Amino acid sequence: MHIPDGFVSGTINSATAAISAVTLVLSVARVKQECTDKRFAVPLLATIAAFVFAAQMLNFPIGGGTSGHFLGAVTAAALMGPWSACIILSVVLVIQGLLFGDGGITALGSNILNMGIIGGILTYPIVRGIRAVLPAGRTGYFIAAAIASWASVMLASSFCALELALSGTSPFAVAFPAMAGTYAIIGIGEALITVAVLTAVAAARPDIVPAWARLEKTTQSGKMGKSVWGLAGIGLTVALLLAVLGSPFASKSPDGLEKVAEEKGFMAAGSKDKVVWQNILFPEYKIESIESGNISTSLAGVIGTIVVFGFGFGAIRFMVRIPAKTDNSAMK
Amino acid sequence: MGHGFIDRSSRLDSYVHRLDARTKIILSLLFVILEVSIPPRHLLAFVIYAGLLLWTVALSRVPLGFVLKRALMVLPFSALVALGLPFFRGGELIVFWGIPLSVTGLWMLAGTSIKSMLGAVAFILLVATTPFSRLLDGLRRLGIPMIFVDMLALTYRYLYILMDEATRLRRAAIARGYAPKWLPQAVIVGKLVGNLFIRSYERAERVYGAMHLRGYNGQIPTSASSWFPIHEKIGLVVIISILISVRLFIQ
Repeated sequence: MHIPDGFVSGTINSATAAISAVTLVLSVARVKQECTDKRFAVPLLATIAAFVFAAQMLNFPIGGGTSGHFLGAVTAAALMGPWSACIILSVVLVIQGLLFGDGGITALGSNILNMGIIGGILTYPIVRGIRAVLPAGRTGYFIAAAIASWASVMLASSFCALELALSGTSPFAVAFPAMAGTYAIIGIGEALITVAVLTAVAAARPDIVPAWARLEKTTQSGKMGKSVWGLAGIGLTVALLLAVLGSPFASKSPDGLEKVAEEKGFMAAGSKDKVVWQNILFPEYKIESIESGNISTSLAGVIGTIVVFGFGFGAIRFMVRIPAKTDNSAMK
Repeated sequence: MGHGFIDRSSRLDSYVHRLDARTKIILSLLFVILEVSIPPRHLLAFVIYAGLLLWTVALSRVPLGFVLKRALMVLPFSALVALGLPFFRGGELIVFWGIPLSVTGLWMLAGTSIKSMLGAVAFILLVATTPFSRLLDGLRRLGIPMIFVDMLALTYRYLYILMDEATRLRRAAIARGYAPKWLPQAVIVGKLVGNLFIRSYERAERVYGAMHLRGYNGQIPTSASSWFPIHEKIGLVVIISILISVRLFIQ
């Protein structure tokens, strides 16, 4: 998901770089304010950044011989706090871009926004929100972490697709399915890993996990309560609404076949190209749009959402049992 | 353990190696910003930029194969995003082996591939000709806040150590019969990552203890300000004007 140079336009890069720079400065201010020993902050955050980098080396299988790797945004936020996580992930992205050519230097602002700010900071309210609905205790904590991890990967890839579309590089209808489809599955791996990491760390060093002390006091709930199903229902409804309303919007660019049909005169109704976004630096780039097949795309979106939701929900249920079984085996 | 240390060639000696880190940082950044802004159809401008870059690589005596191999890192993203463009983008079409391809899409694919490769090569060359400590010193002198420079320095210091740690963890897991095939087995990777986190955290505690004992007070000491040679300033202005005029006038 690291955007190289040349994919995002100068305007979008300047905008995302400005957002990222301001957020980073804010994050540094917040971390300085929050931490008890200020001198420990720099070596600690730097070592954890090196940890995120090393952890991204450990690939996990997706099936069919392909593999994905861990992103680490929600793990960093859960263990170090959202503002520290933003700094950590930014340092990782700078090193990856500067030293390893993984992610372009001009796209650094976009990459920090997608992975550092959205993954590290913006998923924190998601965790808070889910935990407010779920029963207190470890189960709720892990479910919230799992959903937030999946969301962090999905949001990051969606923002990536959005930036590509606004830059005129790739129409949203092409970039979004490619990105979101790939990362919907990688996100499941991310969720599994995040929960396993939190379990392992809580077992060996509960003092490191900020939320753990409070969780110890509350009663442990073994089974998923009714509110879980309520929350799942709300989530599914929102997702379906987005699928119905969003997918026709996302598919306004013609594909090659439609274009052929148009030119050969198969399509009776004429469709006109319209400049939605025109860039100052790239006068040749524009997004074409025509209206076609709204209902069928909505339907496809709905089916896709249900399949992904079912898979995700099943995976989370499968995963929630794991901490109880193998609580401290990882550390022995 | 055998890492392909990225700044392995940075201790070689050449004209490019001897330049001030600031000169190289400013030039690399400007080069990438300008080449990224070239419209895809201005082929001559790309050729001139690529020529200048390759000439610098030759001048630096860094093996071209090393640079190109590193730059291949950009390809997976291009494959995911850009490879489909000729099939989806509208506009003028050409038929190639019976498949209709969009001309705009093909230009877009070519443009993004060239731009991302040039950007990657430029920065790999910067790092390959500048030891990391001098690169950080250059960043600091160019006004990057100390806290970020210190953090980059320490991250780089522990990067390869923790990568070794991760490799050891994975090797131990494989020795115990870990051969993952399907997605739910990512849980086991999660346990390894959790273990790695604890080792990293405890290493940070030890490192901080050692730094504290040696008088660390929140600032890593750096050497006094260095002189920015006047001939480098002149050279910098000349190359910048070449890059800008190529970008503006060649189409």
